[in-house]
Amino acid sequence: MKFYSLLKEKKKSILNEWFDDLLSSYPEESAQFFRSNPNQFTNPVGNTFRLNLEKIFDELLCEKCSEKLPEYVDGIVRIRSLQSFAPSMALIFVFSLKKVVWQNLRSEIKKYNLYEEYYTFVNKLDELIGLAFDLYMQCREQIWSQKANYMNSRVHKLLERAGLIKEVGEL
Amino acid sequence: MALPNARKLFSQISHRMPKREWMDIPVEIKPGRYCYPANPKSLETVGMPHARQWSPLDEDWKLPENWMEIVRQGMKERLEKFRSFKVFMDICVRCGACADKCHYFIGTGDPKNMPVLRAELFRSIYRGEFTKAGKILGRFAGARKLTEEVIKEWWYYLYQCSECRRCSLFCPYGIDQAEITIIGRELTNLLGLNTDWIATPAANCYRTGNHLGIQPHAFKEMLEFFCDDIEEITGIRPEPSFNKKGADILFITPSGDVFADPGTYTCMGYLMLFHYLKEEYGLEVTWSTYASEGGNFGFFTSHEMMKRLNAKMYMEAKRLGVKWILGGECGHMWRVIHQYMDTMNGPADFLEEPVNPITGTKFENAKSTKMVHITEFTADLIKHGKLKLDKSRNDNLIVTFHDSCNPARGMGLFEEPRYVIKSVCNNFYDMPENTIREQTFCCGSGAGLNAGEIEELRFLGGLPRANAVKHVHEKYGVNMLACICAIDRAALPPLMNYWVPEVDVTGVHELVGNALILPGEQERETNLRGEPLPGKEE
Repeated sequence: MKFYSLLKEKKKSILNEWFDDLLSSYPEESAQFFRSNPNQFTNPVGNTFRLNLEKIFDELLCEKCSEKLPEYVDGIVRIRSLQSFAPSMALIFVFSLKKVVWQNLRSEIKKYNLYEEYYTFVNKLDELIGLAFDLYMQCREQIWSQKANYMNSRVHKLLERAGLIKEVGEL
Repeated sequence: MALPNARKLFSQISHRMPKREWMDIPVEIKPGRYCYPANPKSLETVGMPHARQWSPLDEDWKLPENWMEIVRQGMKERLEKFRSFKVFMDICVRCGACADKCHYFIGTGDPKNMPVLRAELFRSIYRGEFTKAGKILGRFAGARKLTEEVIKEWWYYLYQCSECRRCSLFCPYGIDQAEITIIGRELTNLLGLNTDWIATPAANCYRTGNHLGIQPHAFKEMLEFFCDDIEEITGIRPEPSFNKKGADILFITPSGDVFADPGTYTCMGYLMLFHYLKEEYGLEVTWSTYASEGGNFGFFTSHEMMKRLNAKMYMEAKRLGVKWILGGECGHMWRVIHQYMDTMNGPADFLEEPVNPITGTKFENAKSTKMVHITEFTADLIKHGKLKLDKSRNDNLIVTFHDSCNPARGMGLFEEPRYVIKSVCNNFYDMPENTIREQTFCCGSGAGLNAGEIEELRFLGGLPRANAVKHVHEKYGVNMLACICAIDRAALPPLMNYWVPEVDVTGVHELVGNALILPGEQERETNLRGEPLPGKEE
């Protein structure tokens, strides 16, 4: 499990780079704000990103991810899915972890021949991509279903108030 | 919270210049970020200029031929007329204190939603058109040329500001971004650029009396429909008065309370309270089918339109010969009443200085406007022990309170709603202090932005609020978000559904209606929503 102990060892640097990579999808002024304000209430976006990336990373370090993982991924995806990004861009952070880990551990992977362990880790990342995609679609579908439900109930209420429809029991 | 030290603060400062200056970043009009343009008929109804069909996604916005002259002249007139506008154009030192205070910036990360930058969209033109330095030095002095692109950028970002004024709280000069937005929107209106979610309600209000264009008989029927429900739940049927001459008090509330859930339950709370006061103390409160709208979408259009729509409040009070006016739970309606009405349509010298006839309390703050906020009125009644209440009926609720921007920052109404809630509920928890009272976060849908087509923008703008609700939900089990604004009651349910689905939304007087013990009522089985009361579940 050499590879995983290296991941733990380099956790801080990996997380910082991963966070910066996520923020690079925003204009510089905004990225600076998301990065620097540590208050969870006045900077919910930046703080959710920072905290949840760490939680996701910790989950990936475990042999088996816990049932909490979807919640952590959802925290980030729920925000990104609203921010006018193309789907691939909204989920760029799950793809970028592969790059960040490789950049941080490339020499060690080569030196100690850790490709086997790296491969299992990358497989986990692929599963994470699937999960993020499912959650992204859930968010988008929720937005549209809220809109559709609102329109349906509005029309229904108008018809009801106009006395044009009757429930079965009222006939 | 400990103060951060200088080193920590310094480490947060970026010393890199942005790659491109904001003036070099062209506006990109994105669907989902703008409201649909106004229906020309709505603009024509109220005599607004240059009504036409146009689309924000088109290259050609069909501006009037002399648009440049209109904007220059419009800006000049307003710089001369509004000292505040002139001062706000001149004094900003771009310190950035406001930059991260806007909920739309916090949520979207679009730098042009920083209040300072949103205002710079205007200041740059002001400098270029009206200052010597700007005319000579141009961009070096922060000036730029007035182009069609500028107009598009104005329109796009002016209608991404909810005039909540949170930014102004942090500005060392007290620059009020809302005033800049208000005047900016006036300028876009001169060119026929508005949004339908504002223009059509304004026209309906002008023509029929309320935003949805509901006619008087339908307004009355709706309230009677609520009386049916109240009778079913309590065994008591309130008999509301309409347009009653010689009543003690005229009651005006936003029409959202009459026509949209969950505001309708708040409306039932009002009806029950007035019935109680009539039975117990002989107080006569009348509703009006003419002044059937407290909200004022003219406020989001122009000062003149705001004045025209507001005028009916005093006119109706005069016609009916009431002593004073009571106002329901609304947001911007109170901003208009508190800060503009007296000057615009006053003095209301035909009304009495408001005194609660039951308690004798003088409402000093309403001495001039003659209009009292219902949470202040109810808080006074409760404080003097004039209402019989059963708090346990709300025991299934763990409540928090969203300070609606306008009553909070616009009139300093912090304690009264909390006092009322705590008097009718046993479980109340405030959200963190930097998200409530004067620092409250907007619902993300104020100032005419509650349109369906920008739901995603609203969800991002409402994120800071929802995030604080989520915190108290996780910490204390909060399951009900109370508020005193009709837009909040319309905007917060879908917002909660997206971010914190376990939390529902209520008006304060719905909670009052649940707790209020009407004289002679039957034992209640359900709350006003028809849900079983605590202990009455099967």
